[in-house]
Amino acid sequence: MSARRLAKWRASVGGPTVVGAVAVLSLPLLLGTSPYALDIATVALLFAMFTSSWDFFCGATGELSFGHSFFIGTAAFGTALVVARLGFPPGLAIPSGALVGAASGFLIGLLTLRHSGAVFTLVTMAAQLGFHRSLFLWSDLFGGEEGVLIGTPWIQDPMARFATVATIAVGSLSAMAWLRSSTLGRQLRASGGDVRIGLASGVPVSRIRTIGSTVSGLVAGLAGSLYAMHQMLANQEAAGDTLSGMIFLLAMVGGFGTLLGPWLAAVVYVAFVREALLGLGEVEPLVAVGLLFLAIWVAPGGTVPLFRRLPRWWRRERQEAAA
Amino acid sequence: MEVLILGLLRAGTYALIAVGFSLVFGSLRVLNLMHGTFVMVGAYAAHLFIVALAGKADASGAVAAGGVALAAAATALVGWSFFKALQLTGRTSPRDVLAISVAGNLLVAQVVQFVYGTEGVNVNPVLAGGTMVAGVVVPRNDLLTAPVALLSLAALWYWLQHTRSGWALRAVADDAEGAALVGIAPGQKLAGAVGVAAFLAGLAGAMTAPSQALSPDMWIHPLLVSFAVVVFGGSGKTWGALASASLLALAETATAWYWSEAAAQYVALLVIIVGLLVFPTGLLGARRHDVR
Amino acid sequence: MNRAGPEAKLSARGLSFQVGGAPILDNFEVDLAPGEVVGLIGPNGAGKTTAIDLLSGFRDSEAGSVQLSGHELSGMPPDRRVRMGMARTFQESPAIPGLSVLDHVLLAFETVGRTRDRSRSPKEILDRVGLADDAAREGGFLPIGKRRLLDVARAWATTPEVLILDEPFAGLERHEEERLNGILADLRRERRSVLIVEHRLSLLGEVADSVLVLVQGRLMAQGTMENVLQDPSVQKAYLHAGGPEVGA
Repeated sequence: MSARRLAKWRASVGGPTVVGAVAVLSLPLLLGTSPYALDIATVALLFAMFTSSWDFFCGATGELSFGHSFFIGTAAFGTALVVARLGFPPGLAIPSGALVGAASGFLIGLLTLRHSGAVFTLVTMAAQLGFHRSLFLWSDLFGGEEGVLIGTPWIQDPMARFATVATIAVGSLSAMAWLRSSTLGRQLRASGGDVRIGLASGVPVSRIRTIGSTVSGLVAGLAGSLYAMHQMLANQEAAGDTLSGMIFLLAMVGGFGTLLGPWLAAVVYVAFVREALLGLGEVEPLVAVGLLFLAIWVAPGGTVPLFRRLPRWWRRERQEAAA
Repeated sequence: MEVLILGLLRAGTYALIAVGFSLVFGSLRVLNLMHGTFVMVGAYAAHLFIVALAGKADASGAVAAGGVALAAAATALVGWSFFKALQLTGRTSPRDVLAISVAGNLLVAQVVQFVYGTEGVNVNPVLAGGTMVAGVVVPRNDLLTAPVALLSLAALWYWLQHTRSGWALRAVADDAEGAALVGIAPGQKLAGAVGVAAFLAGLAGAMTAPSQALSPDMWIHPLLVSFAVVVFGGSGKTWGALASASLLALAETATAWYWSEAAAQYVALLVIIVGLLVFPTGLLGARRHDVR
Repeated sequence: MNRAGPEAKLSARGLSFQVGGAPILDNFEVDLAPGEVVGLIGPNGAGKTTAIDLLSGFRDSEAGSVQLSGHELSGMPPDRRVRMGMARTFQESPAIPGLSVLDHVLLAFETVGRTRDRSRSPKEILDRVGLADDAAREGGFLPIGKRRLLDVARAWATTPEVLILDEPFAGLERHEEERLNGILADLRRERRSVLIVEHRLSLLGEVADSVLVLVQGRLMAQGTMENVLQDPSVQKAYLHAGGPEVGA
């Protein structure tokens, strides 16, 4: 690999991977290694996959999806159902769930091909609501309020479970960062909002949007499956508007379009902020959402402006990489 | 027959809700994602004001009516202030409005959840008790919604046709082609139009609160109903909105009657998804050029 | 108007477009030979951008045909036409949010250019266009002159047989104009064809082999810039609309 290629790779993929790895390693250091702490850390990383997969598509195309829990919920229930009803082992169930997520992503991609802005958001909202309602309509299948229980734990040891999820979380971040910096990533950016330039550059916008949405669904689905296995349960929360809302808020505050920003924001929020706010009792969700709301109003583009003040060496490298 | 009666009653509510949404979209090309929240605010505010006015949970019809009126006014104020604040703080690009609106929905839902928790909320009706209409027992309060809706819509029509501010709003409509991508302009009458829409939505929410289960996520369905009306009825002509709202209400009521209330919720969703698939461009949203 | 031989790069006939009964463009036609540069001029609102939209597939013509090196393009979506070899720029020279200058050119190159004959590398194109130093800057933050050149660079990176430029000289400074002239010379040498919509007539006159005059949706005249401007009906049409910017 030439020096220029190496520098480019370092900037776009290596950076997020390193930061992700550092974050993952610091979690047990900061939170401790009790089962409770590791549980929080694991869930935090799963949320990081939720938000970063949301940003993969939405941050690139500029659309605001309110239906990300559609991917997560279908995958979670898919996994739970094949384990509980069909006796699949985890090694088979988790990829199955991920595939369900990918299929959901594909479906949403098709439904939203020609829509932008508020219409896009509303269509995703409709899809998410449609699935959520189905959970109660067909409560025999989906278990109604209780959901679908998974009898046997996936990995017994909390540390091993954390390590596995951590590897997948950082790995998916790297993969998405790599895709983002590739031709597909550029084509995806050209496929949102005003698509004229994309079309004028020969980009098959419809196909690219579908691919982007499928990838987003795949990663979200993988995280959703892991979430179900971790909680040993798939219930309506995994497909609800609250989850979609939180993903949206965290991704926006983290840095719309930056992939790493939403990933980190989720980790910081679930692992630290939410824990800190627990002391407030009932008012906690209100305070949390209130803070996020204010953050979005003050900086609708997220904390990206902060990232802009990169150290000079970083920027010089990008200049060289671009030459 | 029952379906018809109940459907017409629901149509009154949906007309109130959808017309405001349709008005803002038709004239300003903005799909206001907070519209469902206005309905929710109206419902919860009605409870708040009725309790405040009466001093306790039980209240007479007059107090209830007062509460409803105040709730609608309060909702109008909320809607107007929100969009005024957006304009004043320069958050006027389409994505900003969208993002902050969605966040706003979530915040209001959390506020409601915090204040009321998960217990049931009882709102006193303006007219208590039920009557028989064509062999169907109908809560008297529900019978009020249709006349109230008609009156409000008549007042709205008058305002649009015969007042200067109404004309101004209609004039902007011609200038709005493709403005979906542009977002709101600083000087636009958006806050005022949203205020009117919020009033109607809040009124609908307040009037139907006695016969509904209030919950913090009740903002989603009215929003999707409003959107479905616009998808089905076309871009924002008031009469079109009325007709589509009525048809949608009838379809929902029929589905609820013959199947279940839960299934009825799908009607709006189907209208949205199928409607947009059949008319992908020219109806809503940004014009896409790769349609074949 | 039928000047092209069998090797015409671009050949369009009978293109029409209406909005609500009002004709925007009526029976538009054009032929481009390899290496030919043709201008399209006319007063504001004459339908020039609509003609570009119809040729490039961003709008559907009610009738007529568009042939690129013998291949019929009618019915093809715009991105497919680009892959067939027809590129265009836009009047507003928009940029894709979040993409750098280099990314814009890479996008076009990787999507189309690389698969076609005689493609130039992105670096070459940026050098030629004069944006090499701005490679890492975000496209949307460039001043208008550079954005125009970026739009041209992007279209060029698709290695088009036919390039349609929508007011490329508007807002350009002198050194940028010279760059553009150089690019047009390159295109000519490579036997690619160019159709340029322009208001800055003197600049256009220096590069175009011939011009078409479009007035109120109809082709009114055709010939060299000199001849066309001396045509009294053309002068009347322009005067009506407020005069051309001949000296601009």
